[in-house]
Amino acid sequence: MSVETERPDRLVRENEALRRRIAALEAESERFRAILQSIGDAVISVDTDGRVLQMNPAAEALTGWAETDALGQPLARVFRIVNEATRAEVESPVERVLRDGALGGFANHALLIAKDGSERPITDSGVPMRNEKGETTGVVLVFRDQTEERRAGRQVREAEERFRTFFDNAPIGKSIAAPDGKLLRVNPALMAMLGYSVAEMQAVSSVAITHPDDLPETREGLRSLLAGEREIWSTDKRYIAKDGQVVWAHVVSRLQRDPEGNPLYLLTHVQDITERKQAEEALRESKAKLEVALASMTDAVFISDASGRFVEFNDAFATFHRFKNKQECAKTFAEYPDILDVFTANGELAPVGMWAVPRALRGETATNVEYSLRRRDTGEVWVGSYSFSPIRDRAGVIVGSVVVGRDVTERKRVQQEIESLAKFPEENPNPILRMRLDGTIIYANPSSKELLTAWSCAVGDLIPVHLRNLLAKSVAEQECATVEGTYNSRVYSLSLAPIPGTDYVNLYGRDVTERVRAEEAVRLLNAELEQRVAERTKQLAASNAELEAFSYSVSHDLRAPLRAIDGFTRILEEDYAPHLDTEGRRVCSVIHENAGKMGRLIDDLLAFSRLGRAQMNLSRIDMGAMANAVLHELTTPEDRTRIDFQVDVLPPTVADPTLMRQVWMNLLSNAVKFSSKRERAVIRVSGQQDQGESVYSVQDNGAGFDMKYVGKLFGVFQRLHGAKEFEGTGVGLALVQRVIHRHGGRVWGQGEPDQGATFCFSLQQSGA
Amino acid sequence: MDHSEAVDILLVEDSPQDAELTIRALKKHNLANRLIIVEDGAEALDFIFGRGKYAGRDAGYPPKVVLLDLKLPKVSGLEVLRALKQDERTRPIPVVIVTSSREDPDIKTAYGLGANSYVVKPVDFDAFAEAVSNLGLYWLLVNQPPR
Repeated sequence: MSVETERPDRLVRENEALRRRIAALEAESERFRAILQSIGDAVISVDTDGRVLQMNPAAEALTGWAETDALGQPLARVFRIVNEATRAEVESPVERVLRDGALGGFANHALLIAKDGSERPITDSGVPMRNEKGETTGVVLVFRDQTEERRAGRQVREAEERFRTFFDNAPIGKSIAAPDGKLLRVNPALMAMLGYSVAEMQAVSSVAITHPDDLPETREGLRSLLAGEREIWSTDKRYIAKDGQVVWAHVVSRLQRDPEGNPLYLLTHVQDITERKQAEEALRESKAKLEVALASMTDAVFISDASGRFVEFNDAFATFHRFKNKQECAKTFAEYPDILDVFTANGELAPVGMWAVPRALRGETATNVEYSLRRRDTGEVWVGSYSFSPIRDRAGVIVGSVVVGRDVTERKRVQQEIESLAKFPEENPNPILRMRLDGTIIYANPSSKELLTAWSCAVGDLIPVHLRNLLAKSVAEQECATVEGTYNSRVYSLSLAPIPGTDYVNLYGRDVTERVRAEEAVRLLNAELEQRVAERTKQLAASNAELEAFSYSVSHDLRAPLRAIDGFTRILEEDYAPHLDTEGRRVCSVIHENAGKMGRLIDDLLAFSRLGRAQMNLSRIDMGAMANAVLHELTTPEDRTRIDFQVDVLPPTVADPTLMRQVWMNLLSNAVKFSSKRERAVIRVSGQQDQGESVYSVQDNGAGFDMKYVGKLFGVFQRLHGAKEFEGTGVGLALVQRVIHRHGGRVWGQGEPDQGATFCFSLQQSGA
Repeated sequence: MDHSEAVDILLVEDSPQDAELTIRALKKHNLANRLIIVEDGAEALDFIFGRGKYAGRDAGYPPKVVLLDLKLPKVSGLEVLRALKQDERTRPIPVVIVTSSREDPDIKTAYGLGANSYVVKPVDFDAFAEAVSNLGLYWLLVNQPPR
């Protein structure tokens, strides 16, 4: 610029400019002052001598000096600083700026000691003031109270330290990852869990170490977090550790966002739950085993929780309670009273509180408690044997019950049967013993008491020696041996029965005293009877002998005179014929006739009496042949032209042939005799078998008889016809009856005068 | 009595009537010519064995037949029979039992002892006579005794 050319104007303009500049400076100075007054930092300006020129309110507050008091004062007096750590005087920044002429910044750790002696940390700095010539005219000291700042910084550090400690020392794995999953920071627990180093961990994403099976879920979890669908994502997942092992972890992830909502970090907690998972697996396996075991059990097992709800029961549970299947099973204990009535062993209806589950839940443990159960719907009754006990947790609190029930109905029945059978010998009124093979008594029923008393022995003793000998024999031969013995005036029949395949012998006794006495009585009676029979036989024999003698006498002694009568009558007739007239000869003839008749009477009578004594010789007889033969013998050829004989087929019989021949002889001769006056006689012989007997009949069309005399038909010497009409001695039918009776048969007759007669006899078909 | 040595019939009969009737029947057929009658068993044995009142008799001539009633005084007919049949000498002599009745309990015994025949004396005289004569005819004429 050129000054000459612009002088007049220039001065004006310079003045003006200067004035404006002064004004501007003043304004600026005022503005600075205002700034100084208002800024938070303390500002003190000093001259080159280090005297205070100016200070703002902040400096007044920190130093405790008023500006008015401080102006012109040496700075060191107003602004006293020491090293925070050493408490040594620290060189004022002003001096350093004045000496070095450079901008001064100062390290921390300076403490400002205020006018009142209080101290506070500050940071300070000094700036040299220069004039237009560039000469240093003073220094502006700026300082700031560091108290708050220091505190905040300490808090941040402490927080950081706390976080680090927390992060690094946490027993569970923790990681901080970028939103893309890249791991930024992992703690030692996680590294230890997975076996990777920090570098290795940071080289991979969390996805990369996730078990392939769990990847989809992991990705989805991260996606949902990033999408803001959830604040927290947690799951149980598997990682692949560096050594290849599967590590189960419970993972909780949270996405940290900045205030604008942009994702910052993914904070993840990883808790190793491998052991828990293994325990769970073991538990699951154990439970599966338990279920298999339960399913295979025939006992009903039911486990309830503390409220009586069944948490576990097996198939046998359904069977035991007569449920159709497992689905029908009552699920809670409270449902039971609707289904079942329960009775105690003594038959009383048990209140629900006394059932197994409530008892167990009250802390009772019991085995083999019997209850009878009755289904309310069907009325079916069965007996259960229960064992139960409470389930307690570690603290001993009852958390459930386990009850085992077994259907013992059949067992009870069998047991009762066995007991009943076992009582069988006890109830036996006869003595029963069991002995070892050496004769030692090992069992005796109550009824054997008297026997044992008589033997002076008891269970554990040997039986009497004679029975031991019998026992040994019985065992050797393996055959039952029976003996009778009298003990204490009672008679016993004792049977020793060796039981094959055992080491004992049973003895079955019976008190036969009464029988023996009765037998004795019978024996005496028999002996007496035999005696009497012998006597009677003797009498009979004597009587028979007399009869024999009588018969002989009759036959001999009666016939001899008769023979004399007849014989000498004949001599009379022969030798004295010339002296006899007609009447004389007639008289001789009458004598002759009657002698003959008497001879016949005697013969018949003897024959009849002989029948009662003669020995019977039984043999099989063809009755038809015999009847025909007798008929032929009885009749002449002339008779046979007159008589119409009809002989049917007759049943054979077994009888004495001689006697039976006499029967036919008498019956047929009667028939011939009594029909002799018929021009045409009809004689019919017939027979039939009926109910074990054979009945034979001889029917004629002769004179017959009046049934009112039927009772006399079979009497000895009884005749229903006169001698003139029909000859006869009256012995024939009596003889027939006697023969038939001796054969055990019956004989009867039927007739009508002039209409013929029928005579019948029956004989037993004794094996004929 | 005829004591000649040869005797056809020895009749042992205690009943005189029967004896008479027997002899009458035999006589009709000339069979009673050499007939000796004794009234009891003892006498019969004496006769046969030639002892007692028959001591002089030669026992070498036995009767051709003995008609023996069983019911006899002293020694019974059975005893006579037994004595005759037990002795070698007399055993061959035919002995015919003549009795009144079929009912005689000794008949069986008699056969057992060796009686040669058994005849019942009928009450009817004609029959009696026939029986006796048949008997005499048979034993005296038909039967051939051992020599």
